[in-house]
Amino acid sequence: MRILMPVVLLTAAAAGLAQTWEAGGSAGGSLSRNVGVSSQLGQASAGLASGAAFGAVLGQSIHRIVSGEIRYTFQPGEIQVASGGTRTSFRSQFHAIHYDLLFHTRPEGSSVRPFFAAGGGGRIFKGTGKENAYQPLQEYALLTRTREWKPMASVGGGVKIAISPRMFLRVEFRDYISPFPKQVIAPADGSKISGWLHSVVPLVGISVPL
Amino acid sequence: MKREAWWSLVLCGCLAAPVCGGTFGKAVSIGGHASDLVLDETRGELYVANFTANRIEALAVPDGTLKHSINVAPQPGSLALSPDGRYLLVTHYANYQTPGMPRNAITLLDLATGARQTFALSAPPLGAAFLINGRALIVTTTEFLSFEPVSGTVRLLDTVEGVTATTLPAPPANFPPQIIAASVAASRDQQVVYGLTDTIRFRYDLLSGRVVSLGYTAEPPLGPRVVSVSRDGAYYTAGWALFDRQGSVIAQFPGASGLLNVGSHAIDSDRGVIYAQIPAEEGAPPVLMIADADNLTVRERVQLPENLAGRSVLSSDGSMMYSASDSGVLILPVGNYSRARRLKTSSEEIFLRTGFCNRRVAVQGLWIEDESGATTDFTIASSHPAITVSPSYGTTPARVEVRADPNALQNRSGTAVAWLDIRSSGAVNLPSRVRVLASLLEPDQRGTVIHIPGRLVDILADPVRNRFYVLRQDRNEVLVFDAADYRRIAVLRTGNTPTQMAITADRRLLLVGNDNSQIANVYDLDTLVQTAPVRFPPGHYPRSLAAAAGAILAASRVAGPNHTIDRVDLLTRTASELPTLGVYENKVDLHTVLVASGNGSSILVAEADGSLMLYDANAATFTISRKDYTSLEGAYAASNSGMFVVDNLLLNSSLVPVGRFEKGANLSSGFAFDGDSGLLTLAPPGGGAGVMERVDLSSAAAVRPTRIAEAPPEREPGFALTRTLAPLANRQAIVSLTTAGFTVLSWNYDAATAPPRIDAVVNAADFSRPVAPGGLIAVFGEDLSPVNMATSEMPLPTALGDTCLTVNGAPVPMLFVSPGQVNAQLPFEAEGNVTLALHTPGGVSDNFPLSVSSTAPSLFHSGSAGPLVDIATVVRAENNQLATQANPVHGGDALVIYLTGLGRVWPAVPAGSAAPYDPLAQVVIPPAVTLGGTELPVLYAGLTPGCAGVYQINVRVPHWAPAGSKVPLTIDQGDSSTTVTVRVVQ
Repeated sequence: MRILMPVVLLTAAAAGLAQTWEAGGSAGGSLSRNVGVSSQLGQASAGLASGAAFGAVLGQSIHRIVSGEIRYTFQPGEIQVASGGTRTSFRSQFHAIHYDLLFHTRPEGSSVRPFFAAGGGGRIFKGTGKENAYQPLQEYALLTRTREWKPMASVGGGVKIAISPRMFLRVEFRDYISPFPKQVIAPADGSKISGWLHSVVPLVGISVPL
Repeated sequence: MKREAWWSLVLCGCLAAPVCGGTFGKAVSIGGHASDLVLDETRGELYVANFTANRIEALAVPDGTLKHSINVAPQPGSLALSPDGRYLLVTHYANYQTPGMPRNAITLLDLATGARQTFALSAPPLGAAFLINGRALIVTTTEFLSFEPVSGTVRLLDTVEGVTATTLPAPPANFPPQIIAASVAASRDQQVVYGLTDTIRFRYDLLSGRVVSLGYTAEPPLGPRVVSVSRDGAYYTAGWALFDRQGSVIAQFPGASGLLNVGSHAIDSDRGVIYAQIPAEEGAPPVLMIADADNLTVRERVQLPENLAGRSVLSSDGSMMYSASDSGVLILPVGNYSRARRLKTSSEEIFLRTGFCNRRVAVQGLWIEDESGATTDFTIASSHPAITVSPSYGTTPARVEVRADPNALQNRSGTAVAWLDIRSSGAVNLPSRVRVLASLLEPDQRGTVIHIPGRLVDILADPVRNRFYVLRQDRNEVLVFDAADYRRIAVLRTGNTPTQMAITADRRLLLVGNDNSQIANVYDLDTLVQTAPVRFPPGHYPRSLAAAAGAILAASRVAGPNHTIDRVDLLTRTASELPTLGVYENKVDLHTVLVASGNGSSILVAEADGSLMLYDANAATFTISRKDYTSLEGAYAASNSGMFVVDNLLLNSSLVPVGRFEKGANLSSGFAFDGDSGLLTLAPPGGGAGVMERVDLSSAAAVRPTRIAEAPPEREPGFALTRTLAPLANRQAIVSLTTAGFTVLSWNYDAATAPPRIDAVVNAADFSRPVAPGGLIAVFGEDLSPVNMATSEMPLPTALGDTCLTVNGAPVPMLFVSPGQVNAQLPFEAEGNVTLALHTPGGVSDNFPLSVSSTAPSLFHSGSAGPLVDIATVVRAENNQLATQANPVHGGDALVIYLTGLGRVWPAVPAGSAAPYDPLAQVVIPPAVTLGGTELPVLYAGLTPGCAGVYQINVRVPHWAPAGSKVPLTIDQGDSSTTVTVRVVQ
């Protein structure tokens, strides 16, 4: 966090000097890699179930091939624990807000502009489901109605395609990498959850220059 | 205005009220005898045929004021209104004889134009009803006619034979229902018409266009002479009976007098009730019964200002009922009945226990309330000098105390019975009498009484399922009990006045015979669902049933010269009278019972006149008939080994007596075979404790006669032979019908028992040592009780399963007993060093010293969730579920902590009584609750309303409470403390 904040401030300052702004929205999905849960009882996995994702972006060109953008992604979905043939889930919401630098392979004004993106920010995990006195697989992990914030790195890529002089089609993906939210998905006594949480979020959207 | 005139006004005002002087409804005088009425809701008028004044009176509804009168031809006997409301058809029963002239006719009144036409008839008309096609069915003493009102054409549908027409002039004080002696009524959908005369019942279907006529005989006559039909014509009432479409008597009102001119009824199909006045005798006070439409179970009895006397009609919304009555018309606002002043008691029976554990006066409260919310006067009186009630009068709502003094009962063991009669000058209903049962138990009396209200007349153990069945006759129900814990698990509705049960040989179906229904009910024992009933021949009431292999027989009371044995065909669900009983004529005593051997090889027929018969299932006929006695009464049973018992006689396979069990002056009540022995219950003639004796079948000798908690029930009049004993199929217990319900005895009830021994006493919440006044305790030891038994009865009994526990010599309320553990509640007065002792039939335990702290909070660990058990009873109010790892405590939560041992409360609540809802009983010493060191505001600490010995603490969790997976939740009270851990998240 101490490293991330100066980066965000620097890029924001650079953005203030530039002239070309871009805003857009996108929708897609989310695919997450579950994390292993080990317990004396056996093995399980825990994480986020696949679901939809919706995003909003505000970007600005700061160089002929570099741009920066602030992005917010909302994912309604579920958290889950699975072991053997049993799975238990809990309604949840995930919010990600981050700043990415986009490195384009073609200069501004090209009709097709592939890019690579990297940046960072934070992610909020919020369990919203209905709690019950007993939860299947609770001997591995407890899906909890609470809220938790984690720092997050974002890497990805995509392509912007000009579909009119004032509109771009954006096809892109991000991999949100964060520590595991151990309050929302709490390891049970005697269980251990280790590993980072990866959520790959492919999105398709439209942006327009401002 | 003169003083007399003022009084008249007051009197009129009173009569105008729907309820006045403890009667329901308002009488409207028409100055003549009403013979019929129809309701014209479109015009807001009720047309009443004034038979003797030759008028049709048009009364305004709902108030009954006379709007106008229409003069018609002599003797308007019945009325019918066309479906479109245009035509009013009047039949004239003017069957005058010489020197007069018959003037039988019909008049058609066009209500739209005022035009009228009169048509002469050759025979006196009995009644008329319009059908939905606009034609009217007119029934005369010789013909069924179809009348078309527009053209005035008449078509002959069928002829009638055997109807005797009363001629005019009639002797004085005869009324239209007695003169015409017929009634015709259509269903509300006007698709079907039913009718009743002295000799025929008939049905006319619009669809088939045919009249189905049924001759009948009825004793007493089918009175009141009124027909009421359900909305769709599926069933109807005629006289005192309820018939289905096929004409079978589904149910009848017991004890009807058969008076033609007194009473009435109307069916409200939407509410599933029948309003009926069916007098039991001439001169009986006018009382309207509100009865269930399926089996005529009477829900309420309502006092009327005068007798109904003919047809009743209901408004389309069922809110008003208009009945022909002595004065003319009685207007009953049945839809507003809930607002009428009527008394109700909080329980239909009261069971008071006293005995060797507690020789103090037993007291129980009874609430008397007016369901309308009004303040209504009442008086209450007991029929037994030793069972008193106080206060004996008052106004509602009021709580009266019913007391039974063991000394006044002269310490005579068994159960004394008293009746509480409740009267009121203001209430319109006749409240049911409350039966009070005062049980006095001595140490040598075995068995535990389970109080079951009502008149219980038969008991049957399921041979393959762990349950048993009890017949409750006064409510027309089969009560199904779980044999594991004696809880009632289902209630099955029967016909009217059920008398006996039988289980089919394949053990799938339960059959129930009825004394006032011409059907036997059939229930699937796997699903406990009623299936199609067995219809009996007209006039046959199956009182007793038995199912052998290949034959199901019924002993029927017959409304005819002979009572008979009928054979049941389950495939067609019909029964037919056997032409003969083998070589014998089919003629049995009214009081005949049947019982099949368990293996289905035979059926014993025992008759109160002393006759015995045997049906052999292999020979498929009756093989034995004997009459060695002038009368028979008491128990009856059949074994699998060709042995039978009637009363105290042991009979061999030829029904020859081979032994006689000793019964002294007692009356036998129940018998059950058990291998080479049997069990016989006896009732002392003047009441008191019952006796159960094991009898040796080889010698007929009684082995260890043992007194049981109470006597078998008294025999109902007309039921000389009784079955009151049911050994359960699991051979764990024997259940005997007794005075207050049934008594459960362990299988070895007569075995010698060891004295109890107490090893430890702990609190019943977390089983730790500290206990406090008013707290629940668990007593551990050996031989603490001969049986396992729990109770949810309130107040908690001080004797349970032959066991009672005393603290400093005073009995304490108990919740559970078993050989190794007893749960009870300490008295609130017990504090410091006290002494416990346990009493059982085996003796009294040694005194057990116990130290009782003023407070000893202990959380129950009785919660369960999924496979998790022994969870502390901390409940999150948000989802009303136990706080667990998966359901953690959140900041801002309200928690309810259930525990015991919080000590004394204010206002004080007697131990064993349910804690009140208002005012709440709060603890005297306030507790402090912390969560992870953070103090939680206590919102309430006191007894849990409705429970005994259970406390609760309601707290609010602040948002800053520390989070963690095992945060200590600590309750401190006085010098005591207890802690559990909970998961807390933010």
